Amino acid sequence: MKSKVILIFLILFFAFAQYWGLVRAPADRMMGDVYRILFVHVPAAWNALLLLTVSFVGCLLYLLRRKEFWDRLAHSSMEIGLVLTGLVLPLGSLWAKPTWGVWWTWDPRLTTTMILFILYAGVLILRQLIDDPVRRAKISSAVGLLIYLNVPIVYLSVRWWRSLHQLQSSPSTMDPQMVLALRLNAFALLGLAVFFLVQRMRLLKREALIEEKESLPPPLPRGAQS
Amino acid sequence: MTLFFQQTVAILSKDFLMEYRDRSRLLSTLLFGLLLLLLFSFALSVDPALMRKMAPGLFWLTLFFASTLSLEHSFQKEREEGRWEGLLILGIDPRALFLGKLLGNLLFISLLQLFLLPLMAVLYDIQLSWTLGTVLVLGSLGLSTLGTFYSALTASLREGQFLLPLLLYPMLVPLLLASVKVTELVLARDLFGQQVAWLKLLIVFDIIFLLGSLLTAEFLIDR
Amino acid sequence: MNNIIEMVEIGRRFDRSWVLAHMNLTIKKGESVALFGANGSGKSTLLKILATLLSPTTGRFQIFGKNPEKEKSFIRRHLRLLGHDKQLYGSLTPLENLRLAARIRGLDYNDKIFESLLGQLQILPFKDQPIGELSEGTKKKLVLAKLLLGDPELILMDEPYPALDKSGREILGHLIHEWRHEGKTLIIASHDHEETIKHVDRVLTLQGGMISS
Ligand SMILES: Nc1ncnc2c1ncn2[C@@H]1O[C@H](COP(=O)(O)OP(=O)(O)OP(=O)(O)O)[C@@H](O)[C@H]1O
Ligand SMILES: [Mg+2]
Repeated sequence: MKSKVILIFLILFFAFAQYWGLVRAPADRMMGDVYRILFVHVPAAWNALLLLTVSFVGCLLYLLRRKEFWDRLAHSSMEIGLVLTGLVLPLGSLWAKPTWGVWWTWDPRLTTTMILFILYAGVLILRQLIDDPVRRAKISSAVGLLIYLNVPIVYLSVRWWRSLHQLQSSPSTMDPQMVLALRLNAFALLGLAVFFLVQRMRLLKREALIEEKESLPPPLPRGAQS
Repeated sequence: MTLFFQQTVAILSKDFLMEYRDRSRLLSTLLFGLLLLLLFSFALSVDPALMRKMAPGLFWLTLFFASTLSLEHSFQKEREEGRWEGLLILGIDPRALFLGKLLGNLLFISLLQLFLLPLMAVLYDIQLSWTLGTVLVLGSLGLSTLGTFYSALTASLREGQFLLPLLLYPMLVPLLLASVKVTELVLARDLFGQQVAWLKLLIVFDIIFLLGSLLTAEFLIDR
Repeated sequence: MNNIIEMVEIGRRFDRSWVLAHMNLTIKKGESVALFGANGSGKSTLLKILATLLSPTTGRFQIFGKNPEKEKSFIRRHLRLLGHDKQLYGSLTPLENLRLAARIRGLDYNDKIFESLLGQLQILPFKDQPIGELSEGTKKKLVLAKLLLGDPELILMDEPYPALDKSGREILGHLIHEWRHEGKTLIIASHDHEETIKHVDRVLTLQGGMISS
């Protein structure tokens, strides 16, 4: 009940932020209305990176503390981060086509995002293959750690390998209305992401509880001496 | 500490002996490498100038693809007959096992390189040099580190062998880019001194992943 | 510190089914114990848990007074397991297999010692033949020779008898006799009740995931 209220509020906030981006913010001098897709694209990218960072923290803390909570955090944030990463790519393409005239360029951000997507999808597939929950948590945390360390290296290497001119999407160069819209949308999406994160973690916890309940050790038979 | 190295060497020399007794794996890997070089040149071009230009990329791709088979095998062979558990119960340090396997894979990949290089030189008409050697060592160290890590990982799953390329290759992207770039620069007699930055990246890559995988190897290898 | 093994309420589950449950077990130093039970009753599972190769789902236990979560390597250094799997390398010879095991164990033995071990098990003539070419019984004897490396305090044997011929059983009987004489603790899981009973102080039977004695 409470979570439904929160969800409705978050959706309304998101709609409001979108309204601000689509209507209130002025059209761009160069790009016209096309640029408005950035109000979803950029927040999605920011939040994806944020969630993957959270999952890195989850992996690290799991290996240090061995508490299931951290594994659930790592798992959930990885899933949501992956969905957002998956959104970033096509949204970016939609923007790139009218702006740069191509769907795809070997821009370091694009390329890194693509590789990131494959890497994290790999971990989630890996999780499916391990039955024992403790081993699953250990192994996927180890991999999650290594993958995250790789992110800056991938970025750097692709940037040196071939860099197109960088498009700055930081708010400093934009109209104040645009900045506001971008910030609103970033927070709206963040709210939704956190909401889903919490829900996903709860779900995982319940699944684990059910699993445990269904397979409680059989009760001691009457009079058994062990 | 000495026990650690004794264990590492024991694993390394055991694997060496096993591969030496059953040379078919090495031989078929070498031939597979040769075949890949030929296939690439068939598929891409017959223009010698173009081939020379693409040689570094093709060399590293060939190395990646050809070494995958033996990387996968490196931990897979410990799964038979409870050998893995046998090593654990003897009290092996998981990191020593990891390091031993890593060195074995490095040796294997170096042999593969030694075989492929002269072939490249002949088939693609490129010049060999000593600076190239450094790049090759750094590149193959990174490849064997991550390769060993994911080999241990996929071999510890009940059915995970098919995952090895999926998990390994995207991790290797920076290594591939850096190795190919430096190789290109070395072959082109690097006029602007760009190769230093790339070499540094290669070294950073090697160090980070060597440390990262040594620190986490225990979670993959021990029960 | 008289108890080498203390298990309290140990349970182990695979997927949804419990193989062991409410297992309480104490074994004293120097005891020799037989572990009987039908196929699938969990004998091997119990031995693997003791050897720190499997972790129990519930309960806690100590070996040599140590917590297996924390002092795995100490425990492993002081016990030996003969498992269902032979843990041998087919393309290496018996001598090389022993050498590998000794080096990983950190033992500084020379070939003389290995040869005398092989002699003790009467498989010296095969010492330079790749294992893949040897008979099952010969391999089993080599596995027994591996148990003799170092000086384990606790020896776990999971079905040591299959594949052994009459002389092999005699040799094993002799080994067990010596181990007991030296005050080592033995656990033997077997379906060969008659043979096993000759060598043990007490019998534990696994049934429904629990010990009934
Ligand atoms: N790795 C595993 N995954 C799933 N189930 C397992 C695993 N290992 C053992 N089991 C199950 O645990 C049960 C007990 O197996 P265990 O090998 O301990 O029996 P056992 O008493 O040694 O039998 P046997 O006399 O045949 O050797 C079996 O039902 C088996 O299916
Ligand atoms: Mg059994």
